[in-house]
Amino acid sequence: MDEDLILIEQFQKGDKTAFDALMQRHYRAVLNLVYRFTGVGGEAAEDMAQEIFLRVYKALPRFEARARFFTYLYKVTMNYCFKEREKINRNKGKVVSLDRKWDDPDISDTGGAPDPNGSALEQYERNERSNEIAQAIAKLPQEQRVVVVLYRFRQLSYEQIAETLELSLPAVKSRLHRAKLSLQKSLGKSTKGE
Amino acid sequence: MEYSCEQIEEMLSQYQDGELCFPMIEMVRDHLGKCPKCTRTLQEINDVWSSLDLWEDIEPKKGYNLDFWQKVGKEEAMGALSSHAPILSVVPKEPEVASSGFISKKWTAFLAAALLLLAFSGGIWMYVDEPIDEPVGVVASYDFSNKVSKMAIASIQDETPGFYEDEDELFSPELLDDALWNVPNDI
Repeated sequence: MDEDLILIEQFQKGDKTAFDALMQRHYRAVLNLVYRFTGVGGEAAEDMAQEIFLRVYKALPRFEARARFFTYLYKVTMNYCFKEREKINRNKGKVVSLDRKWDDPDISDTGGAPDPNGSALEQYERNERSNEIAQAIAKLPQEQRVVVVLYRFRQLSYEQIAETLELSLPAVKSRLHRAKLSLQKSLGKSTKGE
Repeated sequence: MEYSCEQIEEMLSQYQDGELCFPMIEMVRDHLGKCPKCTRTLQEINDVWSSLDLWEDIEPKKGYNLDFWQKVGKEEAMGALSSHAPILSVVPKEPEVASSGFISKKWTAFLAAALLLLAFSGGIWMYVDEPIDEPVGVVASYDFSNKVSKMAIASIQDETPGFYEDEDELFSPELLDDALWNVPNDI
């Protein structure tokens, strides 16, 4: 039996430590989905991730194991992030972070720890490149961005993405293909120069 | 069957991900062997795809789960969460902040109220003990204080006979004040 489902069953019987274990298994993934879907990092991303787990905590007593837990969790995460993104857009009156530097401390925290072996210049170049990538992905249409994030950064298979997004397999392949071509166009030139 | 570059381009993503069936893989490979343009496109897709590694994950902050359980505790305290009886609780206990101060204040108030009640009822008891036709109540309390004062003064007079002969002097504010500090223990 799936370990997540065992933990859920224990939690449904009243064992809160089972939920703690469930959260520890998935917290990092949820935090990074928040980071990549909204462009928000740092404390704000932590708050959002915790809010997502709070919602799951409330809903889990009624959870029925018809699907794998992570597909449910990722769906909750995506819905929450898209609503948050809309809120941010409404409040700022523009599409968030598309025209802004990803390393802007107001909206983002690129997270990665500085490489102690790399020089300051190398670190700066890595950060610049990381910002370019983040912006290029942020510019993708939402349905493509989601597929890229799940496939490339969460290592989900085509089938798992189809299950999570409730899409057909050809639709997943098509979206991923178009996303790759878009990224190749927006990032290709600078990659060639490396 | 020969595929055009546009058709091959459509398959490059799946080719890169190893999602094509074997005959299709062979066919794309053959095309790439002859077509520098499609080879370059595939190379660029590969480079871009690899470069996405630079957009690194962020790490959760330490103690994130404690923060989470504190939020759960708050919501449960407010009744926002349904009662989900725990067998084992991982919710950290809230520190008992200034609870002793609160209790001592409560006790102080209780003791004060008890003393006031005692004084009041004592006043009533002493008041009804003597044939006085004034109403029982706040006045009784006042009279009780007055009686205590008089008894204290009498006690001083007993110790120093003839010292206070004048009634007005006997009840001067200064003397009353002084007498109140010398209330006999047996009243």
